[in-house]
Amino acid sequence: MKDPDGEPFTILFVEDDPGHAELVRRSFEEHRVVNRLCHVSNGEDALDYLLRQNKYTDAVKSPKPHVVLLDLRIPKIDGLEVLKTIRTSKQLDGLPIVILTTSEAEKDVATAYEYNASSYLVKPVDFTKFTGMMKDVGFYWLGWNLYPWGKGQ
Amino acid sequence: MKPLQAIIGFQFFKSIRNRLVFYFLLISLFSITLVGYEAFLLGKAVTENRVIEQLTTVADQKLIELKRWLNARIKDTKTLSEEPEVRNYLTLYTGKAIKDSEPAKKKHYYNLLKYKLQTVKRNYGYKKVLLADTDGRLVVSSDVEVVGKKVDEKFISPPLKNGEPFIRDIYRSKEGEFLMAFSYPVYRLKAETWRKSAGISGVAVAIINMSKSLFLMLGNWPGMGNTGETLLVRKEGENILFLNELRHLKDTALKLRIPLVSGLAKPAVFASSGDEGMIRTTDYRQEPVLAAYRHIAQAGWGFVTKIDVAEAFLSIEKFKFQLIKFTLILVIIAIGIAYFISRTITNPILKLKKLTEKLAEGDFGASTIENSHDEVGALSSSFRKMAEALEDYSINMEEKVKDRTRLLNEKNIELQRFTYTVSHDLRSPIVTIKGFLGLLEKDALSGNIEKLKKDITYINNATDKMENLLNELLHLSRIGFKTNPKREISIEVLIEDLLREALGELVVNNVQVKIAPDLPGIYGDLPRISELFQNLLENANKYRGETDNLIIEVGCREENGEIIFFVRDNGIGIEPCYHEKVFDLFEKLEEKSQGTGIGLAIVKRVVEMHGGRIWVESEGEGKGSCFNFTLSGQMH
Repeated sequence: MKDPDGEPFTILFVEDDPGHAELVRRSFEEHRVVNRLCHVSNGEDALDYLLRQNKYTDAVKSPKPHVVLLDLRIPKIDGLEVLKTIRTSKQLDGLPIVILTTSEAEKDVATAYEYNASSYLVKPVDFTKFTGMMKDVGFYWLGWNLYPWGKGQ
Repeated sequence: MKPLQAIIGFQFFKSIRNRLVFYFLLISLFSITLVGYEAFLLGKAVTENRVIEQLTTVADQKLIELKRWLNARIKDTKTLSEEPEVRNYLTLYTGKAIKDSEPAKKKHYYNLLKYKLQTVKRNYGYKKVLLADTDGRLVVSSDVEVVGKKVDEKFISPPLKNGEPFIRDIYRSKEGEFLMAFSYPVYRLKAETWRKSAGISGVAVAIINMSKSLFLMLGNWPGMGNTGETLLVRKEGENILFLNELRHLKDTALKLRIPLVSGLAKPAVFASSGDEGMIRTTDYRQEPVLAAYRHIAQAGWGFVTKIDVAEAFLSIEKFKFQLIKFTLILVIIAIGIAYFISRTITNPILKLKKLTEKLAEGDFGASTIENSHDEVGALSSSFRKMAEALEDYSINMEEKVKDRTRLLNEKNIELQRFTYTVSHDLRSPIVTIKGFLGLLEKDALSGNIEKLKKDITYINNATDKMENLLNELLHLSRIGFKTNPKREISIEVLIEDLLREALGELVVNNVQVKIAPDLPGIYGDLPRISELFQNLLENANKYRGETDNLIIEVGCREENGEIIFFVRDNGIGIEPCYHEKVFDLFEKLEEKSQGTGIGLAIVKRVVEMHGGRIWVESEGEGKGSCFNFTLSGQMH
């Protein structure tokens, strides 16, 4: 899957738990969702990446993502705080942000949508469901979703 | 339905003031009435005695006067009959045997005698004085009358027959006058007086007008008032005959008769029957009267002085009226006093009530109560103290509520974080474990040993993380619930113990722990204080960064009279923006750290439990950090 510029479809994956990161990576591999998965492990890095600052100034090493998978409980800058910052930045206007977290707290869901999250997903405990969800996420955002330049596929 | 009056009465007695007025009135009315009634009885007795005494005195006085008058009248005729001229003239110039031999001489004596009779009539107030001979013919009269005419036999026959003086009882003349006649026999000159009948030569008769003499005298006495009167009666057959004119009936003298058995005019009946005494009864008018009655044997008269009870006791009635008037005035005064007294009692109570209502509305201006020294004053004083205490209490309460609300909010935030963690952090390792178990199965089937080993490592890490998290959660919860008795703690000894056991890792890693020599002792909960230092030292070790030569200093300084402890390290330090956040529950700054985000939350909680506060100073990454805290329980 590539975008109109011929760039591979890129997902910025913000996840502090290495186990979860590995699981998501493996799930995508399993279901052959071909893409570029850029993984950062805290809120500060996520914003740096998106805004191309500090260690992420190189556009080749850190390509602009098409979708962000964002965990909420992450070190340094909280996920919701990251979401809020993204939504107030003109530079990142229209970037789909999918919240992927273990928190089912109503307050988190409500706040996430208040800050205009594109989607809110809770990581399923069951392995099959987990990989299934990852497959769906891949197909949805990389396949079916229509972007300003056209479909992801 | 209740009668209206009962409701009013019930309402009336609900008020203390009304009750006081009512009971005061009742008591005063009772005593005033009692005293008044006693006074009335006494006054009545005194008045009755005075009236009776007066009546008796009058009766006795009149009786003496009456008897004296009767005797005087008898004596008048006796004196006249014993006059020598009278005896001479009747002896010499009257009688059948005596011839009118010397007319000139007779005429002379006649004139002398007539003059004498006229003198007697004039001097003693008689209607007529006369002399009669034994034949009953007129000899001489004080008035102009024909000599020799027949004189009424009623005057002269009794004295002529038995030689005794005679009184003709009151009678009415043809002219309608009330007269009484006194006769006395005249004896011959030289006659033996013991043969009276033989020696009698005539009779001296004096007729007196009662209306001008005795009746006048009887009818008048001081204090007789409007109803006082004197009766003169005599028994006549089965009747009582009233001799004088009555005060309350016209034309009664010698006309009014009342039968003895009629039960009327009892004093008159008793007096005429010969009794004497005092009685309270009804008179001839059937009017209640007080009467004193006497008997005059000489004349066979009954004599009564009487006065109407109504008049006699008029002063008592007046006294009664005065007493009632006085009582009413006293009652009105009593009501006034009762009202005034009840006001002095109830007014402070009402004031207290108003103040209580104000107090209930939250106005504590209780100092406005005036200070009296009675029971109500004491109550007011207690009330003021209570109001002040309440005011203090309510102010303290507000502060306490604010304090507790703040604490509660903090706990709430903590609880929210806790729930958050349970739903996220605690779930996170489970997701990992289940996920990698799934992968493990696949990898085992595909025979990828490398991947299989990796999967197992992830599962191991996740279970370790979970155990760690659960342990620390348990730990944290213990701090809130379990407290130990406070005791004196030496920080130096405590840290040395920790380094020997729980913090053995620090010794292995060659961490230098420098403890200031002059640390004061702490008075506190030993296991908790131990946890505090353990966490701080562990944290310093955990976040040492790239430093090979980690130095941890434990010491204290004094600022504004407050002892501040500190644990300083030369590790990675903390960015200023995280200085507050580090103490929050489950807050991690480093994703790679093995920490759970509970350690510093435990430290903060222990400090707060000991009444202190904690803060961190660090210039930023790589500059080391210094945790400062106070404990209110330290010892010097």
